[in-house]
Amino acid sequence: MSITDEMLMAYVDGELPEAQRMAVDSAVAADPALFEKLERHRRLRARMGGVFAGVLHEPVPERLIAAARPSNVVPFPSRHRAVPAWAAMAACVAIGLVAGLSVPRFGPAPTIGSDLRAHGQLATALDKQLASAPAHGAAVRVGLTFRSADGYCRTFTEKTVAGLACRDGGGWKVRMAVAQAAGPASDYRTAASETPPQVLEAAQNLMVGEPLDAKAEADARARGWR
Amino acid sequence: MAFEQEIVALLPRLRRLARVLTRDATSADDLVQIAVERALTRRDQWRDGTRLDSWVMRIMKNAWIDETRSRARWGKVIEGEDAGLNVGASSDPADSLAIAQAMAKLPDEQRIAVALVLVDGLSYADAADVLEIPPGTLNSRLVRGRMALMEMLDQ
Repeated sequence: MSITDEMLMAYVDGELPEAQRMAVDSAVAADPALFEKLERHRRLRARMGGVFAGVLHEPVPERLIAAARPSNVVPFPSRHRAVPAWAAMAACVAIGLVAGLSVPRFGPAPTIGSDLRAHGQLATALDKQLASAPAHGAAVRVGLTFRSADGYCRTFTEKTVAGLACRDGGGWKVRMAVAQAAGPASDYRTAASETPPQVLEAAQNLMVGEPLDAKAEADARARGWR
Repeated sequence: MAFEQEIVALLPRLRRLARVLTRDATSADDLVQIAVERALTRRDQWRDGTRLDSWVMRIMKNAWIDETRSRARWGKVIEGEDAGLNVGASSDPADSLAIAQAMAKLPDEQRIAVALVLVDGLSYADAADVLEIPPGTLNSRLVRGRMALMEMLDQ
């Protein structure tokens, strides 16, 4: 059997099947030049592993540990702020959870002026639930109802996502979504129904006047949020 | 271990891999950060029982490819001479520099194959899985990359 460089590399990587490994062993034993070749491959592997090993012992920057924490805020593209395509796509996935996966997960990322609409349980909750009379046990809960310059908006929370949706052409357009920690421990939330501060802040920025009280909310629902 | 904690535990390895791929330590950590953020927002796509390290590395690989493409579009190219700032503390700084510069000269697809197997120590099967390529393709990239490295490093 002729011994190729590819075989020698697989040998030093521990990837060569038993039969070929034995062939390499006996060929190397009989051929000093081949033995030297094997040693070169072994040295390269050792050098490569050694040079970058120091990185493993460096302290990990705080920003990376922070990035691995839950409750990543995923702002939606606005007219004023460019959001990287991956962030928009990530948000797209997050909305998919609530919207019954009606948003394509691997489709093109929504761009500025994108049109992420509420579907399924989220749409039903936004249409029917009253924030003033929370539905216990519902998957989606509406937190706050208010008027923006363009119409009614409502905040919502779900086990994994919270956000803000506004009335738009007979449906609800999701203006913002925040991925939520699924576990009990979170810096932001202690109860499943609590609206994250980022969402409240966004609501405040859009709000005209005060949040709707129970009567105004019921009236708005009765008029189909028009 | 919780998903997030497992990702934190992977950070040193991710940083090391990123150092091999990028020009300097800051770009490397930027790449790790993008990968971690994507992994968290896509955690529902991770299948329980599969390897989290391979999955996050695949995300990082894709982020790196995106980044490399946009860099190419803007006409910026990594020069071998720029490399070497990215290696950590080493007992032999001259050797570190030589290796980093040689790695920087490899084509991207060979560099990442070499990084996964020789630096991170993944098996061929796991490396092919991370790169989403057939085992034979991984093998030929590894062979070409290593032959070129040995040539450049004169060993």
